[in-house]
Amino acid sequence: MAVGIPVQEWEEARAIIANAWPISGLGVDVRENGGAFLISATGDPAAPLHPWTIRAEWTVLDVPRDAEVRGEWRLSIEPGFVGKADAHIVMPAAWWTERALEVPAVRDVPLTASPAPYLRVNAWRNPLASSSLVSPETGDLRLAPAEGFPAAFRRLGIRTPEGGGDLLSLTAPTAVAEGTREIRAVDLVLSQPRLAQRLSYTPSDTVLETGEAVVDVQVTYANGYASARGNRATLRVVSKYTPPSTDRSLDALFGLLLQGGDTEQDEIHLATLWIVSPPDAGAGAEPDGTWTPYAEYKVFWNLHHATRTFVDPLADEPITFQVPIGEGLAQPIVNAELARVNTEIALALASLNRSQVTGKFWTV
Amino acid sequence: MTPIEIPVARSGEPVQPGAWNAMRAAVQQLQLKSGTNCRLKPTGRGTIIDFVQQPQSFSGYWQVTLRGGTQAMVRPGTVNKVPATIDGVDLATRPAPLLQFEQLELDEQDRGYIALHVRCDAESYAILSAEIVQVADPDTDDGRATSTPYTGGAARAFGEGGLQARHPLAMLRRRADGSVAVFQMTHFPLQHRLAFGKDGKTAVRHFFY
Repeated sequence: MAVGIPVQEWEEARAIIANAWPISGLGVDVRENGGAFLISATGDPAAPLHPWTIRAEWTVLDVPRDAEVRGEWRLSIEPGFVGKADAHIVMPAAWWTERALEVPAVRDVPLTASPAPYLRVNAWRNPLASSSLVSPETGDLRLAPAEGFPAAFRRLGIRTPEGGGDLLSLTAPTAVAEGTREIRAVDLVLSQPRLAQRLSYTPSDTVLETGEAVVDVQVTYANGYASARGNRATLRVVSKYTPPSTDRSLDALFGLLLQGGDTEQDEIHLATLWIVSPPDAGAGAEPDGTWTPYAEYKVFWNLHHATRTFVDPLADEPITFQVPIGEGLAQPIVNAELARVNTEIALALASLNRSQVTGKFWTV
Repeated sequence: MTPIEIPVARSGEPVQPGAWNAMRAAVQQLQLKSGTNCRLKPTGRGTIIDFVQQPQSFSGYWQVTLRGGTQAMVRPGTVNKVPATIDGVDLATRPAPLLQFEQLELDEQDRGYIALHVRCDAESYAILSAEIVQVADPDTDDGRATSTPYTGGAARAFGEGGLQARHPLAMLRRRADGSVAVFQMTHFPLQHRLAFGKDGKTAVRHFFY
């Protein structure tokens, strides 16, 4: 007599068998070996707990943000320092209470505080997806190849990054489905406020015999932003960090001359947090508690920071421009008369570069 | 460990309750279990196996250990190859010298420092001494807290000719319960250079790296 097997028992057994399939995670290498699995620890010794060490944890929210977002990834950071000061994280004013999300005001909490602050990850980038455009010499618009991921992740069975493709012909980016696991990433960035460089220019009443007026340009420094921030270095998580340009000539000419000012802070990329999905997560999947985080550090030790120039209270002598009467200061810079004031611009740039306050970080 | 007993089915034979229960028992044994430092994450399509080792505290140069509320021990370190001292005694001396203080010097945020106080020679600018001190602010002349902390980048020069400066080795933070947490800030032997002002003689910044 045949006996029916209860569905529940069948499903239980099926789930156990399915979950018995081992998948490489942190510090583990899984290889099929003659029909069996060879599971090995990768042998990396435990990394020392250095400044900026990231501990990523999936936290189930008491109050889900919406029907689909019931938890979030939070990053706790081992305290790190810039000079004598501990870095801070901007948190809601009452973040340690259950009302944290309802309190709009924020405050800077040092990493050395107890309880320690944390960073929320809200926007992961997808390094497998082709998202930027390139225009090669042929003039075609093409999708650039995807960012990809470090070679160390290859053994985890991650889907191959998209290789880019022709945008206008609407051909799909090339993708090879070798693995089925997804990968996402965010960057951890430290910002240090500093003095800002400004230019002040004063038209003079003097008119030269050549018909040109005289404008005095002087470098000044402002401490408003740094002071408002209490000179505190702060950490933040960004989807993809783009360093500011190191060539500030255009900033100097157009930004500073037009009183746009500089960024008033220096930044350094501390780490990238990669996170890997279970198999078959799907190309559009967002990281949840089933994903595995891996940190890739750019900086391991505490930092010091100093601006390039030690700002002397006695400012340099003003630079004098000679500009045609009846035209604004910016006009001769951007029009065909640029050549006539090349010397003055070179002088201005040299002076700006001498007085640049862009800072440098170094480790101790 | 008992090997898995997998029931054998013969061709054409209906599955009997006993056989099915034996199969269930065998399947149960397939479940992965986490051992020491092992973390398992079942996904429904397999189980992710993590081998998680607890990170070790970095034990290196300058490591500061508080002893009670009035003593600190600092592991040996050098600046420009000059050994640091406590009251003139090399940190590498055995038994190790202890930094004594009556009470911790802290600022209004309950922060203080164990710092390296360097003095440079007025002619050669070489390091004359590198003493371990406990201060509320390494950048003030007397080491006490100020309402307008120095934020000029690098270490502030003070003393005659700007030939003195302090470099923080560890931050001390007093908690609400009165305990004091130590956060190591410097982990390696230091190099030191001076930056001079326009007169070319007066030090305006001290760089430690």
